[in-house]
Amino acid sequence: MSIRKNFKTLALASIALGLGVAALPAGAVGTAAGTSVTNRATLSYTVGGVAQTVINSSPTGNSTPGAAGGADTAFVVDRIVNYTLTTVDTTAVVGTPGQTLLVTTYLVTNTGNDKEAMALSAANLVGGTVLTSNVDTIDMSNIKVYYGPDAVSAYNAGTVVLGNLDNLLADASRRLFVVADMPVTAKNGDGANVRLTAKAAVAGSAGATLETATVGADNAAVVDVVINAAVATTTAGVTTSVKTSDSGYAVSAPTLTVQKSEVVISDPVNGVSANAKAIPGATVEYTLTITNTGTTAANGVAFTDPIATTLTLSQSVYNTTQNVTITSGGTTRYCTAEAGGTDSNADGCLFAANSISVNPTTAIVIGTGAANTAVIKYRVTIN
Amino acid sequence: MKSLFVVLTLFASFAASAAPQGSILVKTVAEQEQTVTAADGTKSTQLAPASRVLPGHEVVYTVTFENVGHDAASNVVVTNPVPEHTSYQVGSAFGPGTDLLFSTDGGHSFAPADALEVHAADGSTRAAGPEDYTHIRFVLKNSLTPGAVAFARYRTIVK
Repeated sequence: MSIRKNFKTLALASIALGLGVAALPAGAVGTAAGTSVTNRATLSYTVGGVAQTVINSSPTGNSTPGAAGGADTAFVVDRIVNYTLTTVDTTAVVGTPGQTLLVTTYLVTNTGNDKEAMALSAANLVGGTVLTSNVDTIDMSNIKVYYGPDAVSAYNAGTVVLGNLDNLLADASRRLFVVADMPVTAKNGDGANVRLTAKAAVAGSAGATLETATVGADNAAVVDVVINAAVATTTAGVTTSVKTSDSGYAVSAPTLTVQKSEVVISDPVNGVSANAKAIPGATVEYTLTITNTGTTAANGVAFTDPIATTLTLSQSVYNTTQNVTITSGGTTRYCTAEAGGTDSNADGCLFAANSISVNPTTAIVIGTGAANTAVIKYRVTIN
Repeated sequence: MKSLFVVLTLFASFAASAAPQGSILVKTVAEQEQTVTAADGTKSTQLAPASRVLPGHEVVYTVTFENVGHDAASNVVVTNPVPEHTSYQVGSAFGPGTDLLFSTDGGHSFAPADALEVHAADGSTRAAGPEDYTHIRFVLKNSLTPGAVAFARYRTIVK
């Protein structure tokens, strides 16, 4: 019983295989569109034992003997429009807020039997997940599509070309690039997914004339257009082609938290003492601790802190002549916030309009992991 | 000039119809199978002229030969090259009352399918397969009497 059943299955499989022969081979290009396939049969015979001049066939019938008679029976191979479009990216392309020219990469392959142009466009996706885990939460800006010189080269601003691909030969592949800017408002963990759309267009049209399936009766003498079902889309009876591929960008950004604490260092009564009180004439030290819990180092960290008019910024309290300490990346350095409102020593620190401003010329970098804090201290006296 | 052309054309057609041989009208058509759905929903397969042809599609070649002369034609042999850009569908050649021969050497020699061998460049030989066929030959067993029509058919797949 079991054997019988298996045999039956085998027979069915053979039938299915037989039908498959006539189906269009996936991914194979085949005879080029426009190729004329010709055929002419030759007939020889005898009459009364005497060999007669051969007769060639014609599409409508020929009885004129000899090579001059007859004509080819011919048809023209039509154009099958078919192509694949996939992203080359396996993970989201990581960028930082405000970063420009972030590149996602795609590959288009012409699996049809004629050269094609490709009309290309790209847009933000709204929500959803691409590349397994990249959840869309924000949009990219300034999205553009470029095509590369070949099927393997990575994005190179010197070799890529903006716009539609004009001539992709049968069986040829080309890399495509979606280039976009990440908004400066992006936060660590945000994702921006994009979709590249490719529509086959008549080669040489620069993507302007979409390939459109020939409607109605076919003409054996001309190249008709057939859109493969894998890429076909029909609107109002007009069949064109479309294929999309999605990729995405992941935001890697510093996430900074600022903590401010104060300690009374000294007062006129107790002097420098743990028991010093915040009375007029007392010196208070402020400590700002900036912690980066994001995934990328924060460069050029600067801060401004208003100081109440009841307080006076202390001078020459650190490193003999300076009044701000900055500890980051395991080193401590100093700068001077001048009281005059002018950064006269050009070190990036000053006191102006009742605010202390710290943006040192050697930028503060707050890394990730073990060295993810910067500590800034300054002192004031209570008026 | 125009009248001269007409005269020439007339002469040519007269010459053709007055051909002394027992003339045979030879016709080759390339067709595709099409599924036709009748009004009652039943489906049938018909042959229609090859038109929308794509790689992988099947094209059916049919050669008809009709004796339009006055004498019986004997030893009728129809030779048909497997068209370039197509491959012969194994087992598809068929002609009522004909013997089938194939060539693998561009039509120089013919033999039945099971007797064909292919000589490789290194001197070895192997049995020929359908992919090796360059020509198909139909040999009519009986003579073609005046007015009689015979046909031969084979199928190809466009590469």
